[in-house]
Amino acid sequence: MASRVEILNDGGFRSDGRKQYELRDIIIDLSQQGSADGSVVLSHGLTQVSASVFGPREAKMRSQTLHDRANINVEVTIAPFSMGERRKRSRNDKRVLDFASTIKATFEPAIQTSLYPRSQVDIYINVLQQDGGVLQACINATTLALAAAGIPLLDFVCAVTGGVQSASPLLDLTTLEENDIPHLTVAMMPRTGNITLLTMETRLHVDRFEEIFQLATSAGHVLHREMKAAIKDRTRTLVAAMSVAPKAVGEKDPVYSERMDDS
Amino acid sequence: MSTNFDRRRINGPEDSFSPVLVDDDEDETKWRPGKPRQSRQPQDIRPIFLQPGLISQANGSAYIETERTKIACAVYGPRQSKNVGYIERGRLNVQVKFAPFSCHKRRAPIRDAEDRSIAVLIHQSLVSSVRLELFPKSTIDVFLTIIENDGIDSCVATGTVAASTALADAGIEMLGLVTSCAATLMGEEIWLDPNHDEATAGASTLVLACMPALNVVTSVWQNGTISPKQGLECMKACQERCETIHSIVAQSLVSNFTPE
Amino acid sequence: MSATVSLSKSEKSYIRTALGELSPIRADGRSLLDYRSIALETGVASLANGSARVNIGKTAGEESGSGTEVIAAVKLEVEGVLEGEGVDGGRLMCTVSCSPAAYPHLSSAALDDLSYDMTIILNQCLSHPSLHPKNLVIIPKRRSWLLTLDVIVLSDSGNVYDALFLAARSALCDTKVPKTRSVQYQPKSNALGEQDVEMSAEAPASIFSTKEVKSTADFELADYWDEGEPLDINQEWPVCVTLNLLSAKSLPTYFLDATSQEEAAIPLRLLLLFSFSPSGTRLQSMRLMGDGEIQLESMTQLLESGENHARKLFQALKNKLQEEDFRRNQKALARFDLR
Repeated sequence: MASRVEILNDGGFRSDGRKQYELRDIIIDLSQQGSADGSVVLSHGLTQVSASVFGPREAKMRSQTLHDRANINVEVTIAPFSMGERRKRSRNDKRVLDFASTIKATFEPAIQTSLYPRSQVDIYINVLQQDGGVLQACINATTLALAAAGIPLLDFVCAVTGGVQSASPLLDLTTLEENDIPHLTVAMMPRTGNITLLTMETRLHVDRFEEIFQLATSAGHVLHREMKAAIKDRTRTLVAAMSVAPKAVGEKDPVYSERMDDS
Repeated sequence: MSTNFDRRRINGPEDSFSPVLVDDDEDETKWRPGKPRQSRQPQDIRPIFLQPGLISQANGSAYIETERTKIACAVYGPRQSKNVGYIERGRLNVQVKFAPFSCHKRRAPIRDAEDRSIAVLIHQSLVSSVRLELFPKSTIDVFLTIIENDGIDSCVATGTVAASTALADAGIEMLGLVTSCAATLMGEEIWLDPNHDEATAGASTLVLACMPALNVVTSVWQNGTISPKQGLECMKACQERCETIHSIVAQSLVSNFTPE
Repeated sequence: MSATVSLSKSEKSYIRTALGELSPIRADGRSLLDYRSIALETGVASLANGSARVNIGKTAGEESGSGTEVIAAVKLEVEGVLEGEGVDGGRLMCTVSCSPAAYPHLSSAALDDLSYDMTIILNQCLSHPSLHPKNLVIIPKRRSWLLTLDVIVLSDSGNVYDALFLAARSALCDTKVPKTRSVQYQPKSNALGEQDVEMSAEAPASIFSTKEVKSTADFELADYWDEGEPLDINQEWPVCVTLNLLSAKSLPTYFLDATSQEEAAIPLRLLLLFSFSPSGTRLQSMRLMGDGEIQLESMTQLLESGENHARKLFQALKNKLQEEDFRRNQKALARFDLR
C-alpha cells in the first residue's frame, strides 16, 4: 500500500468519511463586512474564504478605465496561517497574481460589464483557511459577493473540483486528496450550462475526463441551489428589515414572501 | 534574502566571510551592563555638534553629531506636490536612509521597515510645529541620511533636532523649534541620551519631542517595561534636557545667520 | 498614519463640536468613555497553534455597519540556532496585513505603508526583550521555536489598534507550545554486539540522563493527550487603550473607542499599552499619534485614567478568555462523548 491514509477505502468511504460524490458542508454567511457593497464568508468544509465586492465605482488608477465597459479588478490575499506551513506571500507573488487573473477571466463573461463603462468593480478575496478546493471556494464566494452587491450577472458561476482515484471519480477534494490524485476545477453557469473555467494541472487519462467533467457539472447545479437559497434568504431578511421596520420583527409581508417563493 | 537583492548595484561576492573581530571581552575600559555610566552622569547628554547650511543645493540643511551618531539632513521645498489632487494643507514628507556603512553590519541600500519607522517617528515630532496650512498644494521634503548609527532611539532624537534645524534654516514658518531627547531606564536610574549599548541594556527606552518655546509635547515614544510613575519621571527629565538642546539649536542658527 | 476616511471641514467641526459639548453627543449615542460591544472568539484558525478573532462594534442582527474586525494567529516553527536566523531562546515576530477590503479607498502603496506601520507598532511592543516567553527553547543552543504572529485587518471602522492588541493577546494566550523531549543516537558502549546504535529518549529514569542533556542532537514530539503547554508569560501580554484627545491643554478631555469618522475629526491620539502582572502594573509601550500637541502636565492624568481603563479591559478580556477556554473544552468533551 502506497500511503497510510486510503483515499477511497473498500467500503467506499473517503479519508474524511464522505462517499464518492458527497460534497463537503457549505456554510454561507452573507452578513455585511466593513464598507463593502457585497461580502460573504464561505466555507467548503475546512476551506474558508471571504470575498468583498466594491463598485461599480471610479477606478483608483485612471489608466485602468475602459471606455466601453467596466474593468474587473481582482485582488487575492492568502493568510500566512492558512496552510500547514506558514508562508507569507507578497502581493506581487506570481502564483497569487496568476490565481487572481484566473478568477478575473472566469467572471468576465458572467458580469454585464458593458452596463458600466469607465468604471471598475473591485473584488477582494481573502483566503483564510485552505483544505483543498481553494479556487472553487474563491469562485463561489465571488459569485455570492457580486450578487449581494447587486452587480448584474448573466448567471451564477458555480465551481467544483473533481478528481479520479484509480477508476472512481471523487468530488470536492481536500488537500490530502488533491496532493494524491489528478484533479480538475470546473466553473459553470447553471442556467445555460456554459463553462467559464476549466483548469487542470495534473495528468488525467482522456477516457476519464468525460465522466468527471459531467459529474462536476451536475454537482455545479447542486451548489447553485444552495447559493441561490442563501441569496434569497439574505434578500428576504434585508427586505424584512427595510419594510417591516416600524412593525414587529418577524412579521412577514404575505404578498412579498409569496413573490419571493415563486421565482 | 533574494527579494532584498538589487541587481543594479555592485553586490559583494556570493561567498563571503565576516571579518574576524578581536574579542574585546578582555577590554576593561569598555562599558558593560550593570556598570555605572562612564564619562558622564546619568542626566548628562553627549556633546552636540550642530551645523546648519552644510548642503548648499538644499533650501535648508543641518548636520548633527553626538559622539557616534551622525546625521545629515536636507530640506527641499515647499515645492509643488506631484500626482495628487488639491490638498488644502501642505504635506510634510520625511524620508530616512541609512548609509550602507552606518552600522556594524553592512546595510543594503534598500528601503526597509526600520527606515520607515524612524521616518514616521520624526514626522510625528515635526508635523505639528510646521505651519502647513500656509502651503496648500505643496510638499516639504525632509531627507535624512544616517551616516553613523548608534542606536535607534538616538537616531530618532538627534534626527528630529537636525530636521527642525534644517527646516528653520530653510526659512519655513514654524510655531517653534522642536527638540528631542531619549532616555533609558537602567535599574532604577534614568539615563538620558543613551547610546546603542546602553539603550539595549536598559529595561525601557523613551523618546520625547517637544517645543520648549511653547511648553508643549509633540511626540512620545516608549518601549519596554516601565512603571507609569517612572515613565512620567523619564518624560520630565527629557523635557528639561530638551530646553538645553533648544538653546544649542538657537545658538547655532544665530551664529550661522549672515545678514545680506 | 494617514486618516482612512476623508471628511470635509464642516463634518469634522460638526463631530468635534458635538464631542466638546458639556454633555457630549456621539453619533451612536455612546458616552465618551463607552466602548462599542466587543466580540471575541478563540481557536478560529484550525491550522495555527493559537488564534483569535476580534470584532469591535458589530451589532447582532442589525445591518448597519459591521465594526472593526481583526484575526490573529500564532504559528510555531522550528529554527536551528547554529544555522539560519534562529536565536538561542527563540524569536517572536509579528506581521500585520491589511486587507484591501478594509481600506477600499487606499492605493496599494498606501496600504502597504499602513500595514508596515501597524507591524512596527505591534512588533516593537510584543517582541521587546522584556516580554520574551522562556519556553520557546527546544534544545538549548541548538533548536528553538520561532513564534510568528500574523494579524489580518479584515475591516476597519475605527479603533483598530485596540482591536489589534486584543486579538494579539488572545491569540498568544491561546497558543500551546508542543511538548518536546530531546533524543539522540548513542553508540552502545557495552559488548552486546550487532546493535551498535540505540535511540535513547531522555527519561528521568535513565542513568545516562545527566550526560545526555548536554549533548542532545535532536528532539521528538512527546505524544500526550493534550496539545502542549501555554506560553509562560501569558498574564503579561499587554492590552492597548487608545485615548483620543479632544483638547490637550491644561485640562485634558478624551474619549475611547473612536469610530473612523471620529478618528478623522480629532488631531491627536495617545496609545497606551499596559500589562498587569502580579508584580505590578507596567507600561509596555506609549506612543503619541497625529498632528496635535499636548502639555506634559496633562500626561500624569492621562496615564492614570488610561491605566484604569486598561485594567477594566484587561479584566474583561481575562474573563472572556477563560469563558472561551471553557466553551471549547466543553465542546471537545461533548464531541468525545458522542463517539
